[in-house]
Amino acid sequence: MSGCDGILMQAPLYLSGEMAASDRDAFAAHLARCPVCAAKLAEDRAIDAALRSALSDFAPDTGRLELTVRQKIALDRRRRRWAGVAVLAATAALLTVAVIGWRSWTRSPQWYADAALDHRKEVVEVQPRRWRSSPSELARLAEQYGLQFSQATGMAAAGYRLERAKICAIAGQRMLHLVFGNGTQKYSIFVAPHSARRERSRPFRQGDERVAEFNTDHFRGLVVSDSSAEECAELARVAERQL
Amino acid sequence: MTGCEGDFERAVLPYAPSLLRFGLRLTGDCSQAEDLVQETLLLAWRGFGRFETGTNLRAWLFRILLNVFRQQKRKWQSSSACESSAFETPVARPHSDESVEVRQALNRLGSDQRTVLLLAVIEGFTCREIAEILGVPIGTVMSRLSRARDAMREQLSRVIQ
Repeated sequence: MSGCDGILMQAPLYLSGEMAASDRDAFAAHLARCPVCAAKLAEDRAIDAALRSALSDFAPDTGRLELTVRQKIALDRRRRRWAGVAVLAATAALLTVAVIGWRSWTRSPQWYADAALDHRKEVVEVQPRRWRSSPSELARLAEQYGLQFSQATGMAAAGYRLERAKICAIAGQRMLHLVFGNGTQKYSIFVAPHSARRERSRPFRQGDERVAEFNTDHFRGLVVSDSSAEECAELARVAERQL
Repeated sequence: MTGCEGDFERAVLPYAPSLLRFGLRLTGDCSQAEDLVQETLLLAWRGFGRFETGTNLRAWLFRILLNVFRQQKRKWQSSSACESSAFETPVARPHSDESVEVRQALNRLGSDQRTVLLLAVIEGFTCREIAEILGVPIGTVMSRLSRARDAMREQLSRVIQ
């Protein structure tokens, strides 16, 4: 490659004004003493000028184009805004479901604890409370909770009978507390209507008592006894069959 | 720092005329050029949040436009004689003989040479900016520019003398 070829390779940088000052000076010095390169560069400049002249007579109207783009951007903005609202709504719904689920999940132990405590205070320690024990009173109480008297008595396990009942608060919900006895042993059933059937859970140990849950389409109940887990679960199954 | 959505129209839309002018010279068809620029601006709008303020916005827009053009070129070529009519763009007044000669010479260049020549001479980009727009080394840009000018020189000896 000759010296001129090497110099001319840099011509685009010289013409676009990108050359560093020292390189530009060297380039200009070469042009000053090399008429061939100077002529070629002059032609390059003339080509650029001719090109600008030939293509400068067209100024496109972008009014319609800009209007279309602005409209599409506005539409896109609205979509993004609605998408944001939808995401927020979905998040809120998920959080609500999660909170309800969590409360539902964490509710059972509280129910169990309250039921076990009520059984202990009212049945084991025999606090002085007003219980209903006559058949007519028991029937009225049962009816208040949507139970027929025969259902209430029928929840008793073999050898047991319904002795008394009262209303109590379990985890903030009013429930019918039924006490069944066989002369020596007693156990409690807490029952209340509900709208959604839940899966039956395994018996839960709460202090000295076992608590077993049962569910039907319309009732939710808890059995509290000081028996084994299997016996407690069986008591719950007997009660569930009546409802 | 990246671009803010609210700045988009103020910052980008002023470049629509030069994008459309360049698009017309790439496609040679008003409708295709408008589609090309519209798609370019909408892509820029969607990507504006990632655009770094302070970098070369105009070069970024031209890079998008050329990418969109490459994608759509095949489709257009299959449906019309785009390449053959390139640069015969609508004009406001009749062409002079010299102007027609220059346009024809430009039209005979290869696509790569024509693109760098237009970006450098008509759009005023530097070699470094063109390298950035095309995603090629600056040496390639310089080489294409030199060859483009040599080819134009051969065809326009009467015009440039």
